[in-house]
Amino acid sequence: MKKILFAISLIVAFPLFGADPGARGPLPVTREEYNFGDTAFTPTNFPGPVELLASVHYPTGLPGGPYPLVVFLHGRHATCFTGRTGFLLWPCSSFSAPLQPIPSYRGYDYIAEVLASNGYIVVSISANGINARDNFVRDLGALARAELIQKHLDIWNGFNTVGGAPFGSKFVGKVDLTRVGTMGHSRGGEGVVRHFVLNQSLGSPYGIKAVFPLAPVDFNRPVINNVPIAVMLPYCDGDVADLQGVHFYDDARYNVAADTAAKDAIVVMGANHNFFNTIWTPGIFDAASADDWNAFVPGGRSDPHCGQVKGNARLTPDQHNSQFNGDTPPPPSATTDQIFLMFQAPAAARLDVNRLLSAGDLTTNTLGGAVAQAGITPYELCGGEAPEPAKCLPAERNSRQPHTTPSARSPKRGLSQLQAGWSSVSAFIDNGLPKGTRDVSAFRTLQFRASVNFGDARNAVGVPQNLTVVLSDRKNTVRVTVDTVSRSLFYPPGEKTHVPKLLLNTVRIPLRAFQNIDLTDIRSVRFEFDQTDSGALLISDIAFSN
Amino acid sequence: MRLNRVLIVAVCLLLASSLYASTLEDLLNMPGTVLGKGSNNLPVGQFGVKSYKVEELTLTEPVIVDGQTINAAKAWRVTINGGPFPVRDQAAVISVGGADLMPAREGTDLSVVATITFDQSMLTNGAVITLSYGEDTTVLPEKLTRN
Repeated sequence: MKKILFAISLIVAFPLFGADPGARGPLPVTREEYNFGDTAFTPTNFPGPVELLASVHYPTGLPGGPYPLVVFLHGRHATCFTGRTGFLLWPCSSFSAPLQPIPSYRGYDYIAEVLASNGYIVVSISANGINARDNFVRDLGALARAELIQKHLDIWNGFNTVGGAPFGSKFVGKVDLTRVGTMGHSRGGEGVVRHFVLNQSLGSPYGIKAVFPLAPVDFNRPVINNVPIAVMLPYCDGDVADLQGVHFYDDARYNVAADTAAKDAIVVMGANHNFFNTIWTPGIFDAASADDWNAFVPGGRSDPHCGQVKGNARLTPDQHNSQFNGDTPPPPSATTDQIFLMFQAPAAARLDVNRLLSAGDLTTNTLGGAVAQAGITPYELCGGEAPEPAKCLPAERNSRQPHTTPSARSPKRGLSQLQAGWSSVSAFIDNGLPKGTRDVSAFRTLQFRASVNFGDARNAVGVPQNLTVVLSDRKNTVRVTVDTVSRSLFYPPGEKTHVPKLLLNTVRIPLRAFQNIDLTDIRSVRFEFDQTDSGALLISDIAFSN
Repeated sequence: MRLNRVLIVAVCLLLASSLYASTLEDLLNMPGTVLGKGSNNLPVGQFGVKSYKVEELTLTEPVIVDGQTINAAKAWRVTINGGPFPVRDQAAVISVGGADLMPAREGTDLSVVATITFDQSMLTNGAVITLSYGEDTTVLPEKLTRN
């Protein structure tokens, strides 16, 4: 659960943190709440009223300011309890016996404190009323959650302008509503994405500067662009085990031209679904809490990777540009280095060599250059739009291939991937760069996404893959082997039920690693599969990038 | 004058229809006629699923779902008992005869999950009943037997 410190780093793309954003900052912190009642708000067409209740962490005394605002929204969980027993209804007072509300909104206090100590106002809002009824709404509560966030932002607009109970004038002029970050966990994850869409549809009254879905559902497949988004994916998620939230990243990549925002997906090995919220964590709050992997996954307890909690897989924040593109290891507060990233730079900061979106990309790449291959079998696309097969591994469960897992409320397809295998060290795939596209000197890295295909017996179980990336200019050819710069070609661990998983993490190779090459005149990018006798990968998104 | 009366009556009818409409939650709680019920008491699978009950509901008012009004004379409620069922982010889905019904809701004390359908075509004798969260599926030990 401590892992989540990093979650916030994305939200807060504002440069307030020190070297390790998981570390507590210099400011003392005060926590207060506001509560306008259990039935104070009814979202559109929602079958019942919900509460307006939130926990607020802020720098004590609010010196200076205005401060950026971060909004947290928890996910779906039991709503009421007595003793160790959970219940689902709202409000709790409507039950025949005394029940207390489960304070899911308090489950992120640990990171709210860290953020506030670094100069943020953090509002974690309660959504028990939505949880009690959202399964009977077509979108499973996404719009209701979005409207609840917007309602709280309206409340904060009031606190910031004219003040109001219970805070009086304390926050007047102290809240920068042009700099808002949102983090939503699970159904709250889709909620914050849906909220971005809602706020935009209202003329963007609030400046949403970053969106962080944590272990999110993506039932409806909303897509957002021109805002930094980072999706966190716990590898051992026992609830949203198909990691469907990866669609938020995949769907947004080429959705609009000239997208100004970077995108990240962060895979945390060994992390489960619930422990990011302390109120959902047994031993901290015992009513209705569970280790979702052990409790929900058939056979999950005995899995060699996920069957045990891997210490604190806590990732860290920020140093946004470096931490979130994978160029540097996570800071100490992450307490694990088993973190893998998918990263896409804004459109202006990259040159797409081959997006691998349709069959034509197998012969002519995104730049218009020729694509050639030898010894690659299969050499075909899967997972994207028809006629590609909907799944890359037809015999495997959806939860083992998140990029193509279906959505409950949308027919959208998944990530188009090149399925490639080799049985000879002479195999290669070559992407030519046509005239006019050969100057890549403005970029720092060559990158692509890949996953070791655990469904292909040419990969030795448990053994990482490797290949050579070759850049050629007019005169020279320079080689870099991937394992010297990246750990992303690991063999996906686990063997029970939902693991192993195909996750196409990003391999980033610094262009400085290609010595004695003319970066103003690159003629081709070649993958040579000469490091192992045989193997198979899923590949996408080949690009020069910053 | 006559037009005003007509308008007033129309407005009253409109108000009445919205005042006297049911929600799916109402349908979860209203009395029904049991069409079929299992008797297994041994918990099965990850969530201790035991048995099922299928009931027919006679509707006397419209039902509001997602802001839309459904005018139906009958609905059917499918309930699975066992548990306690976790309140998860992945939705619980009851399937009968291979047809997924709309996502189920956990009962107040989490000892049941239940859903509503306005189509009874899948509620046939011998139909297999399952409870799923994503791809984690528990098949109930008893098939549907109608009275």
